[in-house]
Amino acid sequence: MKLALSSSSEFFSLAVYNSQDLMLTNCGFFTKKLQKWSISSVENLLKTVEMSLKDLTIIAVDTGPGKFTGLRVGVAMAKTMAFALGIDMVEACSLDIIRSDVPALMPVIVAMDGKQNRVFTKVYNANGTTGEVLDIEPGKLKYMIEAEGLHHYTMVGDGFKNYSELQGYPINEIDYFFYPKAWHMHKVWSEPKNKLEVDARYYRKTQAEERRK
Amino acid sequence: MKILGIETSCDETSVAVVEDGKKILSNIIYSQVPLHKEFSGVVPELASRKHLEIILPLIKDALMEANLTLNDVDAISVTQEPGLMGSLLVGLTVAKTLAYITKKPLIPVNHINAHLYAANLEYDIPFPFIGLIVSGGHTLLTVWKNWLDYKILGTTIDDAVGEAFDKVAKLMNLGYPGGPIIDKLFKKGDANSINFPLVMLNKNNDRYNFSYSGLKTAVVYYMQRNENYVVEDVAASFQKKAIDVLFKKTKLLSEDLNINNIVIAGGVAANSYLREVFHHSKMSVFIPSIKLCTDNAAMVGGLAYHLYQNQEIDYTSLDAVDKIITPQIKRNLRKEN
Repeated sequence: MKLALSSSSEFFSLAVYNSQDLMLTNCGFFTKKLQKWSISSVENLLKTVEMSLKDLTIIAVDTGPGKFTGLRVGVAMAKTMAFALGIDMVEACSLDIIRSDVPALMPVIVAMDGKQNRVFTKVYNANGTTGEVLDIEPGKLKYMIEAEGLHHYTMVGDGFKNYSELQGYPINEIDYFFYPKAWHMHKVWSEPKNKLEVDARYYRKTQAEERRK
Repeated sequence: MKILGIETSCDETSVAVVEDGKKILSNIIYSQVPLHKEFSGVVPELASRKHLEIILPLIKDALMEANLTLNDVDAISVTQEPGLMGSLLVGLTVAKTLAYITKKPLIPVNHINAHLYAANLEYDIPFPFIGLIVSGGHTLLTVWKNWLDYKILGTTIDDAVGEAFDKVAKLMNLGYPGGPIIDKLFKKGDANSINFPLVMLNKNNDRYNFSYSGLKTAVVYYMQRNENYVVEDVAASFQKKAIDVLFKKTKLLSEDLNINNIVIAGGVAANSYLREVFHHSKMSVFIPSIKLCTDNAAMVGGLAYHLYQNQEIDYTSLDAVDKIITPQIKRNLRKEN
């Protein structure tokens, strides 16, 4: 049995898989009290599927990019669970998780709100090639979309909702498409890894490091 | 009873196992000082990232050094307050998850109180005692009836003493952290060469309070007026006054309350002049060894033993608290005094 956890956005989600089959999910919007909610949610989720911690064989975690604090709480919890249970982990990129929500053949641009007037973005082409994860200002992403003629791509992620520069593109208005969700992680997660090798991926230096630069 | 302690309140990641509040089975400390050095101070976001990266390997090492497995420990303890919010959250999340998985009790510990407890790991501290906590974030005078019952009687109204050391070191481009650097220069300089003020705040409501901004400003003015100042003399004269005021206020409180036992804790307790001046007094002074003066998890696991009273704490309701002394509390303290 696998437990998947995503907390890189304001939408926190958990999912329990039996092999590759999704059994149950738990989710919600949380801001400040993420930490209080997360442990009790795991407890409730396992109780509901009548499983115990001993049944877990893999912990899957969204390693970002995204909100730094949410990411850290989620990754710390997932790594500690794997450590204490002596099991392996798999990880998934938050942008890949969002993209996996859209049919595979469609070209997609994912932009997650990275706060500080920046978005984490990645371009997924119809032929399966992808760009790098970028941490850029919304205006620069707009310029990139215009310059490279990417208007016809499907735009997903809360970056397209939260920044005026990126509004106006045809996006799905349902919140469902804006955030990474634990129940999509199995489509994009990595091969099993040692939990001590898994860490949050920030894709951004701290403000102090940026000032120094 | 073996307790696993976790400390991540600032820029040291530490994990320890302590038996019955006394015997240190392991105490591993990872200092992030080299990481923050180039910024002349702790960068909270960098500190949180590093805590997350290394906490699990440290837990593994601490258990290995204690020759134990996670199942062998009887409880998990963690610094809950005060400290940098992001850093506290990493330790607290790890501790809560460990407690959840292992079904062991979780004991939240106050970082400041744990610092004082560090002395009890090496001595048998008699009650009541006066606790002086001196670090980069705090300058507190406290009185203790037992490990669960204490009162804060004095605090700083502006900078903490360790913060003043860091700022003065920065003014003279000496590097970070300022305390150990200034302490080294103290031994080479003439501590009586510059007459910096001894800031006693003599008003009644500030009887046990401290202020370091005036002393810091005096250093700034001196440096501006004396372009060719002698670094060693400035450092030595500053350190003398910064420590003298700690001694005088502690002595004052000792005489007022007729309590002769003094426990000193926190990073500044490693200062050589502080140790000398207090040990040469007539008070009965307990200062932990240098290794236990800095942030460490042994003090957390040790104090947790006394806090644990066979009552299970609901670990899901715990949250990190970044500050213990809020401006409001400071104001109230001043009114009460």
